[in-house]
Amino acid sequence: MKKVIIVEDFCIACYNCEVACIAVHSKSQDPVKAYKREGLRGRSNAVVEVESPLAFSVMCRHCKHPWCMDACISGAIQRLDNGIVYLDEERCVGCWGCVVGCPYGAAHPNIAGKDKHAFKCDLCIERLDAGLRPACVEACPNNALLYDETIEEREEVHT
Amino acid sequence: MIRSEYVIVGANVAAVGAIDGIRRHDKKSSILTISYESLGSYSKAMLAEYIEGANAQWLEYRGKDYFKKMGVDCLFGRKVTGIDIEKSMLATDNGDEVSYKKLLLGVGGVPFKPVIKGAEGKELVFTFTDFLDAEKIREALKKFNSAVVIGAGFTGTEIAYTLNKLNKKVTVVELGDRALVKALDPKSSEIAEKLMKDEGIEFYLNDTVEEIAGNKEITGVSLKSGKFISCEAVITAIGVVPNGELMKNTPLKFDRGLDVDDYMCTNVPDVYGAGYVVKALDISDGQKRSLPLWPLAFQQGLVAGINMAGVRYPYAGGLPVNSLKFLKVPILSAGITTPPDASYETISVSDPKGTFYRSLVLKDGRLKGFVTIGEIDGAGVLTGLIRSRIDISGIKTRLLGKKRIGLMQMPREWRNRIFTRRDETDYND
Repeated sequence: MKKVIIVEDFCIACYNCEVACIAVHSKSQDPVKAYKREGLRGRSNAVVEVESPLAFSVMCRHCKHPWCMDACISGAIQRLDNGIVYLDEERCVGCWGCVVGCPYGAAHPNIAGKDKHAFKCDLCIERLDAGLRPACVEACPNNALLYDETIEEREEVHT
Repeated sequence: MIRSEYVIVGANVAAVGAIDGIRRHDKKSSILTISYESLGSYSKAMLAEYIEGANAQWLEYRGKDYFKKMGVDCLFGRKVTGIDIEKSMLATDNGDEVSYKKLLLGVGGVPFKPVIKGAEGKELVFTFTDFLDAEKIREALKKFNSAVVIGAGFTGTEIAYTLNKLNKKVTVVELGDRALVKALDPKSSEIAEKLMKDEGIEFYLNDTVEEIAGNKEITGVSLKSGKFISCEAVITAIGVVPNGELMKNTPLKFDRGLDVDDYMCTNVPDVYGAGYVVKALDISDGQKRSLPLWPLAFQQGLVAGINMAGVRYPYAGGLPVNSLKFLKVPILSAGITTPPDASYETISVSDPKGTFYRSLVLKDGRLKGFVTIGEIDGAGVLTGLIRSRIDISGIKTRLLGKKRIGLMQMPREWRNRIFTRRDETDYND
């Protein structure tokens, strides 16, 4: 399967990937509305880590044997036929098994409020179905995220 | 007589792991799963939700269609009563004979029931291990307003918390000097106890129930210390023991757990085991033991299934990981949380409010275990550090901050291998 490749030398810590991720997973598809009205603050599946001058964005690696899935007591996390490791937030009971299981820290807890569940990257499954690339990759201005392509290939798409 | 290429005894997480494993390499052969529970496959880790009122379908782990989708036949509500190893045959409680080519025993554990004076013949004495137990407790909820829970392990504290939430007066009696001794270190036990006390649960530590008082109806329990606690129900949650019932009078080696090799195969070829019933490698100290933990049961099942399908694939060993999912402040732990001797080093950080705590246990510069309370995002990175055995002497203090744990502190080479690989990561990475 195709995955998001992370190139840490190119990340400029612009957080565009986080903004794009939140927007694409919101009802309004708008980052400001998602923040103000939908309570999606801090709900990006891609997380930028910065320790200047180094920065990179991390999201699910969609493992062949996902530690998160092994730990999932509700069956909310399943590996789809196309290899995407998918977390169904409706079925999640917030046991945090995936949070403590994922060695990349890519399954996150949403603890606030009554809506207790984990969340993680779904590789923008709907965008992929529509022939698009994941939103974080699309939003990255400096080739720090690639959708299983070389930098040359990506630049060809963009120009 | 029923014939099946693969037969799985048990239908829960280890069995599901095994079915996944078999079907990765063998899409065609027949698989039959047999379980004494009429509900078939469900999440034992979610029984508390059932007591709180969730419907039984909510507990279905992989959904209704899972077995059908995987081409698996089911005999649910049917108990396996014996194994004839020579004939590769099972007997069930309604007289069926089932012949197998490959067998998996995923029969889990049975609650360890202490002999307590006065426990016999009383309606409101429960265990809390399987769906039947949960159903009994749920049905009896109207009949009691107060309960004593014996045992402050994971099961005990979870049922105590659940009953308290349902407005019962709950008291926990524990023989040891603190709650959750297997999963937590003393400081985090204290925090967990406080979180539960704040909700109204009472604890009696260093004490045990000697007698359940009352005739048919419980009036209370008397403790070894001489105290008497009034209550109307008692739940024993001392622990579980591996279920060895089927191994009796067979050549299968069972001694407080079923012996299996690195491929999850027992001492009898073609008979495999997975889940709590087996003694499998615990990588935190290199010993083989039975652990009643969900992810390990799944992984062992998967490995057993892959090997049953004829592909040699070793079990990399498991790491005990715990999540106290029911508490208001999340508590996660993994590996060795209480150092067994002076060769271990412990570093920790906490805030005075008790809403944040993190402790790391190291040996020879390698992470062996941790507890993290309050701030849990990225805790899995620590779990990964235990598994990978990377020397963290240089970065250990940076892992203690009150913030999410990321990959910034990891060796650049390790990180970039993960970031740039296009193939798929495996258990043994």
